[in-house]
Parts: sequence; C-alpha cells; structure tokens
Amino acid sequence: MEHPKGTSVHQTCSPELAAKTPSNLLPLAALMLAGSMGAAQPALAQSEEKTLKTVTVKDTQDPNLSKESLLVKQTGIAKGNQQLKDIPQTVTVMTEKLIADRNYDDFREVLKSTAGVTFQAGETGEEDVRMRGFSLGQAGDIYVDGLRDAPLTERDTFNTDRVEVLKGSASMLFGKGSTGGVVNQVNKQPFLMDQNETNVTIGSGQMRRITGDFNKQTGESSAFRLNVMTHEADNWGAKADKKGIAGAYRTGIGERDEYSVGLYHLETDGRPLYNHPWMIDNGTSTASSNGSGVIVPVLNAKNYYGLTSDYLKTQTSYLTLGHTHRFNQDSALKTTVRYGHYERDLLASAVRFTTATSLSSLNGNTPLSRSFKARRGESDVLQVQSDYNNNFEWMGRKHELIAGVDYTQDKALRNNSAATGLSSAGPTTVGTPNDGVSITDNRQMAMNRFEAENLGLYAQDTINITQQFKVLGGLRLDRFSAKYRDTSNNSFQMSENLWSPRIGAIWQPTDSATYYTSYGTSYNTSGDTYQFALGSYAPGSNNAKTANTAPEKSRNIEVGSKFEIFEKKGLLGIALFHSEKYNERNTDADSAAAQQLLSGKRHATGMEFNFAGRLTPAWEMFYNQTWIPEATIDESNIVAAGTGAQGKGDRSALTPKHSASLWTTFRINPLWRLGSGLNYRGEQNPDGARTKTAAAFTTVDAMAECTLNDANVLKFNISNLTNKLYADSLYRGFYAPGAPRRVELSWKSMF
Amino acid sequence: MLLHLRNVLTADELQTALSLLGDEAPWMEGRISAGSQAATVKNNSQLSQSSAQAKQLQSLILSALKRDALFFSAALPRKIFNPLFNRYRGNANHFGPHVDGAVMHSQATGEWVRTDVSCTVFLSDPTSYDGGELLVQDTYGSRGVKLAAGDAVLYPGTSVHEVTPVTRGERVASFFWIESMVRSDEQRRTLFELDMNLLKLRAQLGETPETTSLTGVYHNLLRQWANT
Repeated sequence: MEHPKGTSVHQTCSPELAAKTPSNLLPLAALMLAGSMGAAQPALAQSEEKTLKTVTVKDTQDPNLSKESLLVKQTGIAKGNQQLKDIPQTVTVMTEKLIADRNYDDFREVLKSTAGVTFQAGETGEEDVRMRGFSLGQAGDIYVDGLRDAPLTERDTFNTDRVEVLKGSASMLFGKGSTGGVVNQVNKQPFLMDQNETNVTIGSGQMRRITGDFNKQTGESSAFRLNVMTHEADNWGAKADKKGIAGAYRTGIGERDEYSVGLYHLETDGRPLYNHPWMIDNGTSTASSNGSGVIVPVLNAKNYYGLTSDYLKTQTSYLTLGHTHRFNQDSALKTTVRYGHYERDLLASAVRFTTATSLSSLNGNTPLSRSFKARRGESDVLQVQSDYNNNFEWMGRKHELIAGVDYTQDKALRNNSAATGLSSAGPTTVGTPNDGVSITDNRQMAMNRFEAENLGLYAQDTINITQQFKVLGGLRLDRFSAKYRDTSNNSFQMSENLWSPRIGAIWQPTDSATYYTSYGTSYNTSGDTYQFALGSYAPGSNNAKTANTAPEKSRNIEVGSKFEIFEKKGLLGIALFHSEKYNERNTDADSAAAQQLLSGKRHATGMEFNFAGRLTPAWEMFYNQTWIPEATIDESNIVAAGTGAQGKGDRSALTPKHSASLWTTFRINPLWRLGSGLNYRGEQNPDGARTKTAAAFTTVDAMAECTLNDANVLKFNISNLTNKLYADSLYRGFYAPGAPRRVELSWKSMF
Repeated sequence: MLLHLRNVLTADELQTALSLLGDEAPWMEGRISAGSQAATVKNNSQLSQSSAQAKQLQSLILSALKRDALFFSAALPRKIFNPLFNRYRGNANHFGPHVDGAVMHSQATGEWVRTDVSCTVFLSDPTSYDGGELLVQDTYGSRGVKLAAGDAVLYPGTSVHEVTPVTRGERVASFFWIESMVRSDEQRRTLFELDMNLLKLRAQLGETPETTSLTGVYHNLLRQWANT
C-alpha cells in the first residue's frame, strides 16, 4: 500500500480492511446509527436520505483562530474556501487578533495597516481609499462576507472576524471594480462552543467604548452569536458616537444542509474633522499657504474648526440569509441573500486661510474661513449570490471547479452637493478651535436617483497537471445596467456586457513552497458606486457625457511566491506585480469635460512583501510592504505643466514609492506581552496638485498587555507615540491630519 | 486488529486543532493521567482536560469520528472516553512500553470506561518530526505506526504499546479509548470483516437474497456478542 511520504505502517492491516467504503453504501454497523435495522429493508442502504451524514466540515475557519493568531491560512476571498497559498495573487489578512492588539475600532485604521493604501480627502466629503494609486472606495471595492458593502459609509470593527485584502485586478471574481484590489470584511460567525468576551476601553479624547461578543452553542450542530458595541468620544470637538448590534444564528454546522440567518445594525453620529489648511515649503525661508513644494502641516491634529452643528450620520442595516448544501465531501452549493438599507448624511466645514499666510506670520489670531460641504445618500441594496464548488477527477486529472451566479440591485438617492440653503457661520481663528458656533439647518433637499442592476456568471477550473503543478482559468460575464434621473427629470440609461478572464499557474514543489503567476483583468463602469457627476443630466451636459462613457479597463500581471516557514507557523509572500489601466477616463468633476475619451493610460509596477505568523512560541509578527518604484501616467490629454492636475509622464497621485506596516508582539512571561508597530508611507502627491508633495511619515505604536488570569486581561495602548503631525489624507487644496497621540486602556474579560 | 482510518479529520479541522494546540495551550506533565506502572515510563506533555481548548477539541474529534463509518464498524462503540491530547518534544519526548489501564474514569462525563479499543489520531505532519512512532505489540508481533496528519489508528487496548522518542520537531496527537459493545477483539474483528465484505458484495451485486441472508447472520452474531 502506498503511503504519503513520511508515514509508515509496517506490516499493514489487510488492504481490503483499510479500503474506504464505497460512497453510496454504508457498513451495517453504521446503519444501526441511522436507525435502519433488519434485513427486511435492504433498499434502505441505498437511499440517500437514510445514510449517515458523512459529509465533511468545509466551514469557514474556526472563529477562534482569528482571535488568537496573526496568521490564518485560509480565506474565502477568492470564492469557495481556499488555502492562502493556493491563490495566485497577493492576499493580506488582518485578523481579529491584530485588530484587537492595535485597538482599531474603525475600518480605515485597519486599512492603514495595509501597505499600498492611501487616502484621498475632500471631494465634497467624499473621501476615497486608494490601493497602489487606484481607487478602492469609489469603485465599490469594499465587501462584507464577499458581498458588496455600502458605497460610502462609516464602518466599525465590532463584528469583524478579519479583514482580507486581495491586491490587483480581480473582476473575474468580483465583477466591476477591483483595479487596485478588493477589501473584504468577514463578519464573526457562530461556532460550536460557549464563549463570551467583553471589552471596556477608555482613552484620549474622552473615548469610552464597550463591546461584547457572546457565542452560545444551542444544540449539537447549532449556535448563536451576538456582538454589541457602544462607543463615545469627544475627540476635542470632532466627536464620535457609535452603536452597533449584530446577531447571527447557524444550524446544521458542518452537516449536509447548513442554514444561517444574521442581522447587522450600526448607527454612527459624529462630527467630521473635514480638513486642515496647509503651508507649502518652497525651499525659501518663508513657507506660505500656496505655491509649489512640500506640504507642511501646521495646525495641531487635535484642533477641530468645524461647527457644533456639523455632523456625519450614517446607518447600516442588513439581513443576511445563508444556505449551504454539501453534496459530498468535495462539492457544495452555497447561497447567500442579503438585503440592506444604508444611509449617510454629511454636513462639514471646509477650513481655509482667508489671506495668503506665511509660516512666520501664522499666529493664534490668523483668521480661518469656513464653508459648508454637504452630501446625502441612501441606498437599498439587494444581493443574491450562489457559488458552487466541486473537486473531482476527470480524464485522470484532479479538477477544482468553482462556478456561480450573482445578482446585485442598488437603488440609490443622492445629493452630492447639498449645502444649498445654509447661512454661513462666519470665520474663526487658529487660536480658537472648537469654538462652539452652530447654525440652524432647515435645508430642503432634492435627490438624484440612481438605479443599477448587475447580473454576473462565472466559472473557474483549477487543473492539477501533476501533483505539483496546477493551472487555472476562469471567465466571468457581467450584464450591468444603470439609470439616472436628476431633479429636473432629465434621465439617462446605460448598459454594458463585460467579459473578465483570469488565468494562472501554480507550482508547489514542496508542501511549504508555492510559486505562481497570474493574469487578471478588471473594469470600472461609469455607474460606479460613487459617480462624480453632480446635478444635471440634461442631454449634452457633461454629466450625461460622463455617464455615457464606456468602462475603463485594467489588467494585473503578477509573479510571486509564498512560503510556509518557522515550522509552518509563518507565511511569507513575495510578489512582483504590474497593474495597468489602459483606457482611463479621469473621474474628476473639475476636468470631466476634457476626459471622456478613455484615452488615458497609467501603470504601477512594483513588489509586495507579506509576512504573518509566529517566529518563536513567544514572538509574533505581521509585516506588509509595498514598493512601487514606477507609477506613471502614460497617456493623458492633460499636458504635464503648471501646478494643476497630473499629466502625461507624471508619477500617479497618491502612490508613494514605499509604504509599510509592521506589528510585532513578544510574550516575556505568562503575565506580560509587549507589542510595537510602525506605519510608514513614503512621499506622495495629492491628486490634481502635481507640484505639491506630502512628506513621508512614520507613526509608532506600542502596547503592553497584562494577563491577570484566564478570564481577565488588561491592555495599554499608545498609538502615534511620538505625536507625529502628518498629512494623512490629501486633496489638491488641503489635507486631513492623522490622529494625534492617543492613549488607551482596555480591560478584556472572558467567561 | 490494527486498523488505519484515513482522513478522519478534514484539512480545516486539522488546522483548527493544531492552532488550538499551540504553545499558548495549557500543557501539563503527562504523568497525571497515567496509572502507577505507566507513570514510570511516561514522559510527555498533556493538554489540561478542563481547558476551553480541550472542550472544543473534544467536540471536534468526536464529531469527526461520528462521520467515520469505518470507525463505527470496527470499534462498535458503546462509550467513548473524552479525547485527550498529548505532545512529545524536547525533553518530554517519549512514553515507554505500557498497557493502558483496563478501566478509565473520565473527568468530563464522570463515567467509567472499559478500554477495549485504543485510538490515536495523528495531528502533526509526519515529515515534521523524527521518531515518535507508536509501537503496538499484539499477537502478530510488534508494528510501528506513524500516520499522516488527520489519520487515526485503532488497536486493541489489551496490547503493550509505546511511543518512541521524538528526536526532531514535535508530535501532537489525540488519544482515547472506546468501550465496545463487543468486548472481545477477535469477535469484533470477525464482525468487521463480515461487514466490510458484505459491503463489497452489495456494491458489486446489489441486494441479492444471499446478501440479505448474510446481513441477517451479521446481526445475529452481534445479538449474541453485544452488550448494550
């Protein structure tokens, strides 16, 4: 009898005894369990319903794993449930442990610990997240459980098991978007155990946060999980107030038919620190607030210059139903339906120096003007997704097939510039932040309507050519259609049929080494979740032209390797990528008129380094670095000149050469664990201001954790230890500062 | 009878088990679960039975066994001792020749379990450690067993067995005992052979009067021999 390398049974038992049972019959002994006794009913043995459940648990990974480790080896981000090492693309996973260690309560903070991510500020309160310089937020590349998340909303980590980032084009898996990659937040799932955890945190800016995570096994194969959160902070004026509840019930866990139902609700009500004005260091002794040069953040990051009546209110509510049918150990059909209602309402103050100010003359009496930025949006999103996977042998080769269909319907009401009808609040001064001024808001708001539907079909097969060598090929077809209607009843319709291929090859010479190459494409339709077109859709208007523009297309080529090291407790990934957008429209309202030709082209070429895991029993590390030596606008009808938008030959905006994130912890003894981390982002230019540069920055975080006993853990965190003042998100005319130094103390209790 | 059960645990379950059995898990000296004679030769680590990890791992192993028709057919379980977990590495690296205690008291259920059948579920990748073979001496002589991670072996509790020293890496496994409805190893083996061959006949021929009749023979033997 053959045995896998390294196993041995000398003098094995007779082979017929070790043989696996034929799949459609069960031994008599096992039939006793199925309650079918006696020779009078021989047919029972063949009837499917009566056989024992001999299906395998092909479950998402054990929820506790993400709680306890910086490394998970499995992900569902590429459909189905795969080993990270079997995905021929860079995937960075931030586990609940990393999120908890670093005290991240906001999704944006989690994203900051991913290299290659940058933030765009402004755009009427429409911040964007970029990956490798390509849009992520605006393109709708943020997912929850593999389903599209609301286009713009606040997100909290209270119900997050882990955040997975797949980098590079992946429209074959996700449909529209995904040029830079996609981010998937995985919700916590019920599991078969009783486990409860509460966490109380107090911190700087009068922050108080309480979370609870309660899991109860309610039967042999069913469980219920409840997560709750309440969070309050005054943040020196930019207050935050969040409440969340998420409940989920699963039954038939690991059995032939598994059902799940989940409800999620999050409400946030805060005041946004929209921006700070900057000084520009042009190399002379007098930095001033305009011109070309290096951006100098000058105002204290704590300073909030908005009004007390400013607000950012969001609501997220969704219901999720899930069913998994397992045909046998190797094949299953998983169906998920989610219906969600999402609201976001923003009223913020953009702050500017009223006169040209130089650094030397800046003082507490320097005036600051305030102008309103407002935006309101509502979405009702229905999503249905069915994924089938089957591993089978055909013509002597092993195949891993995944195929599926998904449908998304998004009905949205939007007003992207909703400040009309507000009376000005008057100026303030640098020396009087949080001055307590408020205004009365009695706006009447008309909304543009936007409706989009998408139906996608995909299939991918991975063929084992030899034991060590696999090739994969996949294809997806999307039918996308969208309708716009403005407040004057001008309307516009569009529809697209889009094909997205993906191919790859994987060589696994040993159990712990993988080498791969892959090619994938992606596209962005003009009906993206965030359309820049404001106001009128009158025929011939710029908005109509923008909406009428065909999709942008991109491709990603990647060559890489993944190694399991440190006795398989660590996973190291190194990859070389080339991402290229080869027919770009410039999604920028200010220059939309000139940019509807899809004549643009840009690329980013670089490397990714990823490590997560345990080096020694006491030492854990998470490291992620992106190096993009080359990020260029290859074709554009904007001439690279002046101080305005990037043109042909310029480096792409918001694409630093280096960015990295490190988190490492060391257990000194059973009582104490210490941790430290760095976030680094190299110098970058704002979008639309080619001669202004935001300097590189490094922020340092530290943690000390004291395990009092099995049930109680105290943790002390300092984020931005050096109180570094830096430009975190950038707009062409201003920036928003990164958070100041924060000190937080948490008490975790498990029972 | 010594029986090799393949893929008792799925890859997912195996990963879960290994992650729960890391260095943070509450490992203790293995001598505590051994009788006085075995304690002199037992040198390994064992997972605390009362820990959350142990509880979760026990249900993981038991639910995996429940799926395994071969396990059921070969062991004909009446009671299953709550699975225990041990680790061999470094200086705590072996368990010399011993016989398992005839009756074990389970902390978890408070029950007494007669150890008719012993079972070891291998959890570590066999290429990741040297040594650590389970040597079982039964009436046919001594055999070494070192299986793929996720596989299990059933062997008579009556046999003298040992785990050879682990000289590199670490060997983590689950071990436990089964009180069988059929006390005698020989009788159990006969029933298992009959069951397996009947299964093949039914697969080859479908249900014929002869297989029906032989099915009757199986149940009649079980009726004579089983204590429930």
